[in-house]
Amino acid sequence: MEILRCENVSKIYGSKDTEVKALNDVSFSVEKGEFVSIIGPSGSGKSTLLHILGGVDKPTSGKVFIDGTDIHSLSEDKLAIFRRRQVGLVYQFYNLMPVLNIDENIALPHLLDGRPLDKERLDRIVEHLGLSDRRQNLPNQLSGGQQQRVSIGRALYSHPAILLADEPTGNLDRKTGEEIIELLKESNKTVQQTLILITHDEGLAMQADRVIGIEDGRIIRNEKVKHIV
Amino acid sequence: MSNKQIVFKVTKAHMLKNKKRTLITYFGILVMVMLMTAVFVGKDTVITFMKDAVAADKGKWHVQVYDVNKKQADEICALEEVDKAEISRAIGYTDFAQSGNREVTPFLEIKAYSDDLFDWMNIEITEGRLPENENEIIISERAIEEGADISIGDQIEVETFDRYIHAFFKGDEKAGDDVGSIMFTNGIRVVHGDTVKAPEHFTYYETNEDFEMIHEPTGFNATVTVVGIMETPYYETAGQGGYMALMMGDDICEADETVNLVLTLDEDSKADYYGDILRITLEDKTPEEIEELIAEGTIYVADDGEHLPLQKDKVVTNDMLLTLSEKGSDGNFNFMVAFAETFFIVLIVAASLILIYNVFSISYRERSVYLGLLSSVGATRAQKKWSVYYEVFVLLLLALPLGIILGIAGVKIAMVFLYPNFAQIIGSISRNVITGKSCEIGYKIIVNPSNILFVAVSSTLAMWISAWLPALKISKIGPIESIRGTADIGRKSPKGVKTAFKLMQKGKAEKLLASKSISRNKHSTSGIVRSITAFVALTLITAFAVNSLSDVLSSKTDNEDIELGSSYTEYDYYFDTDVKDDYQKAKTDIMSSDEIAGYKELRYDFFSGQVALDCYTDEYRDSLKNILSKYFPDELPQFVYDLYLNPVNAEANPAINYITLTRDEFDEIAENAGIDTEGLANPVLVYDRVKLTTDDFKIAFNGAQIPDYTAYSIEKPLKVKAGDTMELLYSSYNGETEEWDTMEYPISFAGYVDADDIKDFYVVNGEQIWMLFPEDTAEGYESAVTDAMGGLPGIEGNIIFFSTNTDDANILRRLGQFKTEFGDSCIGSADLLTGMTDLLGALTTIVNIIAVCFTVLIAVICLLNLYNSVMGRRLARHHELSVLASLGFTNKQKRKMLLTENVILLGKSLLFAGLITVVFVICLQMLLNNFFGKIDFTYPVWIVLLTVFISIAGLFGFTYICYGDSDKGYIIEDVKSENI
Repeated sequence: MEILRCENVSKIYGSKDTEVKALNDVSFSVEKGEFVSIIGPSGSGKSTLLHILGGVDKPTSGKVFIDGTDIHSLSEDKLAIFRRRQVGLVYQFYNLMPVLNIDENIALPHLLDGRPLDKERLDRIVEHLGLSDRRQNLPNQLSGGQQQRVSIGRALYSHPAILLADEPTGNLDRKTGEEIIELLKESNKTVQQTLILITHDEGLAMQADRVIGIEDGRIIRNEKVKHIV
Repeated sequence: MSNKQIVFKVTKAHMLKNKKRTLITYFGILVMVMLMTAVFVGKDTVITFMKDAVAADKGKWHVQVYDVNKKQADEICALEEVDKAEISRAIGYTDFAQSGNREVTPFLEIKAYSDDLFDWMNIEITEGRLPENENEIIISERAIEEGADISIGDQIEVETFDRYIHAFFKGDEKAGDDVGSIMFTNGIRVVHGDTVKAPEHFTYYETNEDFEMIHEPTGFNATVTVVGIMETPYYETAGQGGYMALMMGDDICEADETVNLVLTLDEDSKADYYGDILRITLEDKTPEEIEELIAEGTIYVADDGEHLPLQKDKVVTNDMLLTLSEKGSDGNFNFMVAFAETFFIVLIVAASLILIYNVFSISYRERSVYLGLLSSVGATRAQKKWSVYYEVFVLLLLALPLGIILGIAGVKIAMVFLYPNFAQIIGSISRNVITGKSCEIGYKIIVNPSNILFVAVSSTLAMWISAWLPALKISKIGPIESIRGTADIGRKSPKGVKTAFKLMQKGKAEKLLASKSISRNKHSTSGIVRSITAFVALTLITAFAVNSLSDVLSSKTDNEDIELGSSYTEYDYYFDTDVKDDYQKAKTDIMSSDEIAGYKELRYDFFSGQVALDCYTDEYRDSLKNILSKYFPDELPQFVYDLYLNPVNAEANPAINYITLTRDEFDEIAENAGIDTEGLANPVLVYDRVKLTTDDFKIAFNGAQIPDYTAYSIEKPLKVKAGDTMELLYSSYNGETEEWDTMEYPISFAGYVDADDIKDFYVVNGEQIWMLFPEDTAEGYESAVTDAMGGLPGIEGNIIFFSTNTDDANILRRLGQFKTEFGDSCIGSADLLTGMTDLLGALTTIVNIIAVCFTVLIAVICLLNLYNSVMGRRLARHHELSVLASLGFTNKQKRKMLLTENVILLGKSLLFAGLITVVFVICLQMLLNNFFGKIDFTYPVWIVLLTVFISIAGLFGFTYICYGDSDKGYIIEDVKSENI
């Protein structure tokens, strides 16, 4: 079942002489529960594509359908509600709220939706992320890997339909990076959460069900990955 | 390139990059310099203007010393504190055959002035010219107005004499007996058997069986030519026996003559001029004589502690002018002038310090980034500190000249707007107090170089202080925390912070974010709290301080009087005369005329009886004793007990005043106060306050050194209950029995009324109880007094206010024909009575206007500060809000979060401001009470409410402005822009 469809999406920065085409007529779709990785060199437009998919950036032209809804036709407030319910975003630089501790950061999107805290679920996620002994710490008291775990916890807590991760391991050492990817994959498998991962690491990309390659704002590759068990 | 120069270069680049913040800092410094300049220039300008206004009243002189010989004159002129000296000679009285009012003013009173004295004494020529020698004379315009048959060019034969009063012994009395005395005007008392020289401006008396007026020739005989008519000098009174006449005299005191010295003082000198002059005037007295003088009168305590006999009639000061130079005899006023100046400077520096400190505190994070980067490549703490100092002092250097120019320009502009008000106030003084003519008093902007230097030095110091703490903090930022951008999150315990489960379980994300943002983000939120606290506290402190000073001034200027409330101010005209028949005729005409749109009477009676001191509360009696003790600090003499504290005669009990009301008015006021007067015989309402002040006894203890002003405001001064009957006493001196006859009249005390209950009718002031009588009580009392004593009680006053249907009403012409005993019209514009003021009142108004201007400017600095803080916090939260938006935070939720934050911030700020203000007000009131006794302080409730409202509106308004544009653009741009 198709959960995401991207139709002729283009994104242009600047104007006239300074015009840069970050995305050029990009179209593809993603099935529910699929793990898709988007790869490409720096400046190829992969992060721009992810941000447009997550509703935090707007395309210059084209449409993005999630669960049949053209998200960029929504009003600002409706788009915000859509984001907190349907999308979980994991950034390379974590983007945690510096004034909230781990518990509060993880539960934030859920609370923003006006729903009361599910303490059991929070406990489970925190334990699963290995942050039980740091849950009252502020982000600046954590290592990079721990902060990224918190950011993943925040993305997972409210059961979003799609998890979008923008180079989540780009700022971490290899071992920590692998642990983070395992967490994301686990979430993808266990709760059938659609995962779209941005990376420039070919090896990492190949762990996905499908790989979309981008270069100069165009899709140059869109193929399923055969995994040998 | 030195090790500091690279830091300066980076700082300069940073300043240029952050233009908005740099401009706000610059603007803050500029406003501080401007305001400080304005305080000094404004103070000098206004004080000079007020000095000119005071000088227009009494002249430019500071001190007059009467009857000094050459040696004394030379010694006084040689005093370091004396700037210039002129000589005035009392030539004497001469018969003035041409007088048009010989029954009251049959003489000319001639003085000779040395050259500059004509200017110092405000002698203005209305016709002709000033005299140039002893054969030329100018005469007061009053003589012409009263019908004197004299004009320029006429010659007058002058044979001057001094006037003496000799009081005869009565019956068989002889020298050495315990004889009585005769009281004359000007406070002159002559003991039977004595001969006393009449003072200047003495009233004309004819010899009778009690005393003889003796004219002793002085030997000055000349034929003088009238060369000019002068405006009536300020010191000439309607009742004096001679019209003033002036001739030119030289400014050298001859060896054998006695002159009056007129001095101006060096305003910068701190010497005890009064003590120094007093000592010289006492040189020809033996120690025994001085002791005797001290025993007879009161003392002046010189700066060195020496007790000198005070000679108020020998050394006279132009006190209000000296007060404006902080040299007045009233130490309280000197204190207040100095206090007001210091207060405003401290306030401006405080407001500016907070503004500058805030600017640096708010930009802490932003600054920490580039300084952290510098630190990571080896910048030392000192170098980081210098980056802050560099910024401050570069901006100060740019702000100083412009700020000073703007400050001076600000005063110029302010004076353009304020001058008409000032001139109107000063004009009203001149109308009512001086000569009945308005006088034009211009102003000039006074720029004192030493003040400008002070502004430059104190601004530099203020800047250094405000930059020091942020510089210290910034110097401690390490490279890692600044690069990570977490330097602004307060240091927390390694264990972290408690999770707000309660809020989370309720799903209150906005409240969670708001409360955590405030509690865990001290730098940006404390800036806002500081700004609101500073705005509210500084505005309220200014308002309370000005109000308190105004209360002190009002307390000092409130005499025994009635001011009229709104029920009188609606009328256009008044009719007032002491001639009872004329009043009745006019009243009948007004009441029956078709041309009258409405009328209302004011009937009052001063000193109209007494209430026995026993009926007064202990607080009243203690306050009375304290006030009297100020005049007699060592021990209260017996006569003070007999006259005031344990009255031996009924007439010595405290007097009362009353106002007569129609029954409807009386009932309305009683209803306002919730008092039931039903069934009471001779009911009276009593105003619930009296104010005893040292000034009340100035006349009684004439000649005594006036102590520092002290006032006691006493609430509910009588120890009676509603419904109690009390005796109203009235005493009258019986010339036949030479005893005081006293009668008693029973009245029923219905209750106390306060200022609010009577505000539509009157505002009453004074040391004596004010009673409100309904017509029947008043009539009963007045007829009882008339029956027993043969006349009405006290000093009666009747004024009728009215309005006409048309401006050209015939009744105005009819009433205009009634004249007072001085020939003035009995009818006038009601504004004259309802808007009267005196010099002190005018100064109070001017001080209030200036204070309001400064309060507004200080409020503007603080509001600028608040805007800066809100904007600073907004900029610091750019990333936070973008991340929240990316997580699905809606605009509605953002508004809710900001609302919650603002409520918390306002709560905190108002609490702090309230505490600071309360502490300040308590301390200020204690200080003022310590200086002035017990002042009846009023509270500027409307200013408090307005300030709180502005702080709320300001915070919400600035939040709307600063956060309103955050929805524009794409979230991800903001999220990315913050990542290093």
